[in-house]
Amino acid sequence: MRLIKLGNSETQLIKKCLKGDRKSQRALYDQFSSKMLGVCRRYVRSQYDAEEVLSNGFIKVFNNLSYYRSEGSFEGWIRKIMVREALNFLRSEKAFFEETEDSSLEFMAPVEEQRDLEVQDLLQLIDELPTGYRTVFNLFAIEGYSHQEIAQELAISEGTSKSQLNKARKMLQVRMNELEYEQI
Amino acid sequence: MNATDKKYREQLEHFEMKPSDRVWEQIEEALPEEREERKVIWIYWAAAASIVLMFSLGWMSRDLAIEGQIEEQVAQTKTTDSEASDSDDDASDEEKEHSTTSEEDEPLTTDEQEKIGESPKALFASARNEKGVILGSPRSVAQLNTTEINQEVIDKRKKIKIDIEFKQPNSKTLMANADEPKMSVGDYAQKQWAALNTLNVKKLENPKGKVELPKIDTEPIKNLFNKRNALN
Repeated sequence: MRLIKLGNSETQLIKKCLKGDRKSQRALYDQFSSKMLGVCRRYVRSQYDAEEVLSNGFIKVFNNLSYYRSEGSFEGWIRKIMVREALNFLRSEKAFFEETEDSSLEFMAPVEEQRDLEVQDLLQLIDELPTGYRTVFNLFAIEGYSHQEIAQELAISEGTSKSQLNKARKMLQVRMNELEYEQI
Repeated sequence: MNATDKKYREQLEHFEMKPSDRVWEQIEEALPEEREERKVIWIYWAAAASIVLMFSLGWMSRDLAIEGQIEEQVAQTKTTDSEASDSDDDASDEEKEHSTTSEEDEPLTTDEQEKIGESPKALFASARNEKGVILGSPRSVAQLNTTEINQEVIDKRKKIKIDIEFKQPNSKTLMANADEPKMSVGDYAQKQWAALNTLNVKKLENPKGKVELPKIDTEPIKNLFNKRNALN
């Protein structure tokens, strides 16, 4: 019963947003913005840029709301838009998906508050990955896309997708070991 | 999916961060202004107005507006004067019959044209043919005795005609101004709309009261009467 109620209120919220009701738009934003900034931030290394992606993503969500068919989950639909928006951002930054063997690992100091050390550590390790590795790893390991889907989305071959994933994993494992050693 | 993938997925799949206020500000700026409801109401009004106009145009094309009212008035006049034998009901039945047969303006035959000046029926028929508007039903005129068609009756009819126009400010009477065959539909609609706009709304709500319409051109109708007088 509760689930049905929730589903109905979501449908109502979407309807009101479609009518341009500002309060409902704000409510929808409040409901998903933190989750979606988390998604964006995994792809984009600074919070500032991630917020840019988030706001562009939400504008697309509102402008394309009429195309949403309640087949899949609404959150999944929004998440897809955010991921796509993050990929667009990375594309605009270029330096992307070439088979760069020797990408230097840039270190970015974490700007986020230290709520959950482990999550923050993992995020930092992901941040250290070259953009191509990080993107493929995010898409495959966390979002659950297949290599075929990743290849299509990024306009690369499936082989490239697989090799980037493997390199990402190796690099992450090395850094995780280092981190654990540091902590002891 | 290997162990590394799993570890990251568990930790980061539900990773959340609270965005700063500027994000919503940016979004709000990009969204259309919140004035949808007003727009919708305006659109409904426009739709209603255009439906009224379409109805008006439909009536015009059937030539029923003036004809029906004049016939009714004539029938009433006849009964009150006790000059006619027909009852009101009969008259209205005949109107219906007539309205179905007079939908098209058929050109007069040579025979009929020769009769012009001889019978009132032909006179009205010719008036209608020239101006593209029906002043009165040939049939109803034919029912009157020829001797009755005198200046007095014509004056009475003229008076009746004007009364109708000024009493009822609805789309039907606005049709009284429709006797301009060369006017385009767009021009006509615009003119009618302008006339509607100048009406006092309060007066419209009380159509039974005496309402003065904005100036409606009765010249063409007067001209027709004058023509007919000249022929007599």
